Amino acid sequence: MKHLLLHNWKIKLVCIVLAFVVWYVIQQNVDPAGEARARAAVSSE
Amino acid sequence: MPAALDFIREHWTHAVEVGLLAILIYYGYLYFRGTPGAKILVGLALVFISLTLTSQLLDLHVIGWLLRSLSVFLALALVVIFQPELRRALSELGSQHFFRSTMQKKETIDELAETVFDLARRQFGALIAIERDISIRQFASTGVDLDAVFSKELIMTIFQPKTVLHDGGVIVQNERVTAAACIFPLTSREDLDRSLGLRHRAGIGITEESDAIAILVSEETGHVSLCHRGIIERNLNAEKFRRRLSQLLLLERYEASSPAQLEN
Repeated sequence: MKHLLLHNWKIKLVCIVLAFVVWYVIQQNVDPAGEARARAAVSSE
Repeated sequence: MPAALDFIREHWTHAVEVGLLAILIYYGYLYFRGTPGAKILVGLALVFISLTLTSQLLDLHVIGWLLRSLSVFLALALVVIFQPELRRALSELGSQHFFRSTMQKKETIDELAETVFDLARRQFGALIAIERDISIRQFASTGVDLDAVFSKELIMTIFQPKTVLHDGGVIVQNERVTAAACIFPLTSREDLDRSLGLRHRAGIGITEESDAIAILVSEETGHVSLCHRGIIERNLNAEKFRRRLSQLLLLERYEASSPAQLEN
């Protein structure tokens, strides 16, 4: 498990960041109003 | 604490999605690194990440919109850039495993290593491609059909500098030497050492087109090299060569046959 996590850890970290960015961009494309709704919900609270 | 639990309950699917994407990107990177398009991929990824983060942090709507619009075209561009690699990946996915090569035996590896280092000692240039799951039959048709049992004597005879068959590559399929004097595709990579001749470029080329393993012996230096997935490892000694060939032919796991493992 330790080897699985720590082997190539820098590349794995970059992959997670990249995955998050890709996920975020896709999320924005799929549901562009999502963020606006979330902001509105926060401001109404 | 309940707030944290609520957050987890609400967003765990997002974490799973990001995790799956990260795994996909990681194994994609392992597969594509060392290929001609790898540097382009890294460059594009860096530009993409930095622009996305900048547009989010500074709330740049136009850049954000531009990135979202371009992401579709970017995906198409990646397909075009990595067309050879994708073709190879898909053909690997579709390849059948019914006829596992009997080459994957330790004794054969030992015999092969002995042959290769005998060729190196005599400074006979050689190029041997060992077929794995993806057929390289199309290259066999460019040479002379043999269909002979693999033996040290046969290989030594083929690569004797004055024989008719010594120029070109030998193809080994299922422990049989199927063809000699074959013409393999040359790699188009520009980042290779200028000292690499046509034989080495052909060795790299065939491993870019298929999952074959190419063994090279330099005529000038007698150095032995091993190519796999477009990566060349040069100047191997007998022990290292045997160990790495065993890793590639005996271990089935992709990770075990990746260049990262080979370099260790």
